[in-house]
Amino acid sequence: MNESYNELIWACLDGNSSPKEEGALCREILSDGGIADAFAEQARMHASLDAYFNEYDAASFAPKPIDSGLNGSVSRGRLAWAAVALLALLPLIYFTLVRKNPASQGYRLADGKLKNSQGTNEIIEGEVLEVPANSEARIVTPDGAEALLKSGTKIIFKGKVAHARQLIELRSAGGTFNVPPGKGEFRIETPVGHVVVLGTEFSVELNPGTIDPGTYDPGTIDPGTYDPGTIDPGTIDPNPSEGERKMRKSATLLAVAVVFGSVEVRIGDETFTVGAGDSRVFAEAAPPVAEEAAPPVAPVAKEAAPPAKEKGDLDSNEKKLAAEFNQLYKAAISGKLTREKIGGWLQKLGINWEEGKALARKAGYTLEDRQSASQSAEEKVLNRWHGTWFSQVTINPSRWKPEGTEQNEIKEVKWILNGRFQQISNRSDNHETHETQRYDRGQKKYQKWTFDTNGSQSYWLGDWDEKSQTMTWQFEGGELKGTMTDHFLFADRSATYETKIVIKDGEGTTLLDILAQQTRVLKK
Amino acid sequence: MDRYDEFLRLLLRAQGDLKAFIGSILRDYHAREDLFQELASLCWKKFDDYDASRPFGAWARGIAVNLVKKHLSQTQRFPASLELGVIESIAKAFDRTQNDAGNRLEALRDCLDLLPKNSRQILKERYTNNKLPGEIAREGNTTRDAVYKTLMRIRLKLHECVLRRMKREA
Repeated sequence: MNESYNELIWACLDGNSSPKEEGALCREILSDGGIADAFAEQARMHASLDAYFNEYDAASFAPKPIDSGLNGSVSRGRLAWAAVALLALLPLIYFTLVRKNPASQGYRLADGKLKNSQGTNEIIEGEVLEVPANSEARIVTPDGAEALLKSGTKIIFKGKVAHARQLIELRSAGGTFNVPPGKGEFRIETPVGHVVVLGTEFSVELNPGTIDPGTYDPGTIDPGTYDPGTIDPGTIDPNPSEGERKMRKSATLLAVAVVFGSVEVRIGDETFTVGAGDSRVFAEAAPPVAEEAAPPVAPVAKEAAPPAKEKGDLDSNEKKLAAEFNQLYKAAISGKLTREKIGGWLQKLGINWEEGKALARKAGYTLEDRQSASQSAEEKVLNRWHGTWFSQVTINPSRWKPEGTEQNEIKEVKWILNGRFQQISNRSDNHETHETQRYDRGQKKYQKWTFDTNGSQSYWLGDWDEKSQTMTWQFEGGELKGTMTDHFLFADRSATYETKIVIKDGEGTTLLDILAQQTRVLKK
Repeated sequence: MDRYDEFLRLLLRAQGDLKAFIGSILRDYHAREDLFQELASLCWKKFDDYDASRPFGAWARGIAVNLVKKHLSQTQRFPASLELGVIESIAKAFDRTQNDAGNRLEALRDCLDLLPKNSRQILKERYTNNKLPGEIAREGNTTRDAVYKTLMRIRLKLHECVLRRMKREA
């Protein structure tokens, strides 16, 4: 095979070919079976590499755990609402999402000044671009998005990469992005996390009063003088303590404000949705802090040390430090400590938050995130459902469905409302059901509410049997009685579960009889 | 083994190849994933029509061809230069080169182990970290063209290695 054909094939598979090159490849595929075969083989190799490096754990070759929430880790402890708002570097992203016609091919510097590594203003994919001091740059991307970048911004436009229609790496400062609706993610990666534009339908109502990019001057924010009125006032402390200032130095801030539409912000394993009119500040490498100030409390009582075999090769001082940090961590995620207290404690220990976590883990402590720590054992049961499932539903002939039928559904289950409720959506070609479930600590029962596109609704009460890994739901509505069981077939991985629903009338006649097999979908 | 189990077994075995076929035509990750879900659903609905004496992958790919065409005609977003006739040619090429013997991913893992560390690192940068050749080049103090060529050669070498191993297993 001629090397130039291979180059053409790989440029095409990598998404780096021009329309002209794709046309040339198509002609070759149509006229030469050998090239078509080579294309098919290289496409297999491309997909295998993608699967190997992304869907599988390359070290063990086992599929990666699909569901980070299985062990109760729905919310990670990397979010710090209050402590993060006053750091030196504040990449500010201010989204305005509007409908717009796709622009012409290629990048365009529509206005302002910009320089690449060669010192010219040419916009090259993959190259670091910098907006000079006292300047701005307005850039139009090939997919029609517009970026108004501030002075001091360092940014890389990476174009179409994997499942992103546009991938941008923001290294410093930031700006305003106008993103038209389109297929695929429009993603901005920052040192703190990723910002992803969602959906294609957006409101056109502007909601002022959040972050004003016009007042933001990157690199000059002084934590002590920062105006809390420009970002959520609840997150700003204009008079940080010395310990807090020290603690903040280790973190980088990401501020996101949305005028209309919505974006997703991914920080580590967590995803947050920021909707119209909202602004939020995220940070990396900062401790979780109570969202509302709580009265300082005395350090929590010491607890038994973990087994010696898990302590690695730490010396006695390190073990002591790890134990003390573990106490601090538990108190911090429980929301019992003020920021000042946490900062002071860290200062006393002489380590920062990340160092403390690393040391505690090395010593064998399990550092639970805030949500997981606050979950009861009963609430943790629901983590089995968390994730995406492929559902094969068989409706057996019954009074309400004499013909019986089969259908496939996609089921998505996620925690909502501060991890207190689980939201389930089932979608098939012509039917959609929304369910909400939770554990009610008061009546010591699981509760489930269901609503569907036929206008039906129901309310169920459930009991979990750990031994058989089965949740049994019951409902009573007048003369109707319903039983639904969710039976997990593999307790460890929660890879499959079976749902049976039977509804009977007062005389015992079966009105509805459903069996559904749920298989967890392996997702990137 | 009931019908559903049999279907799942066949689908799981063929899914890598089916995803490769769809991915060779559609660049958009979400479109590819959605289309694969739709394909799985449709294959199950039509599973009674499947002739077990024929390869399942080829049968499912036939359904995938129609789905891809439908998708392209509905969205009109994907390479305008990609004529619909090309899709059939690519599908036929997948049929001709299909090799069910051995596990491709296992063979790939073994072959990756044989690669020099630097080559493996470049692949990791490209696939796990989604870096573009220009970026990899800058970090490695080399040129973009050199990275393009290196990546292509590594992948061609891996391809040969994978085929050899799968043949040996067969």
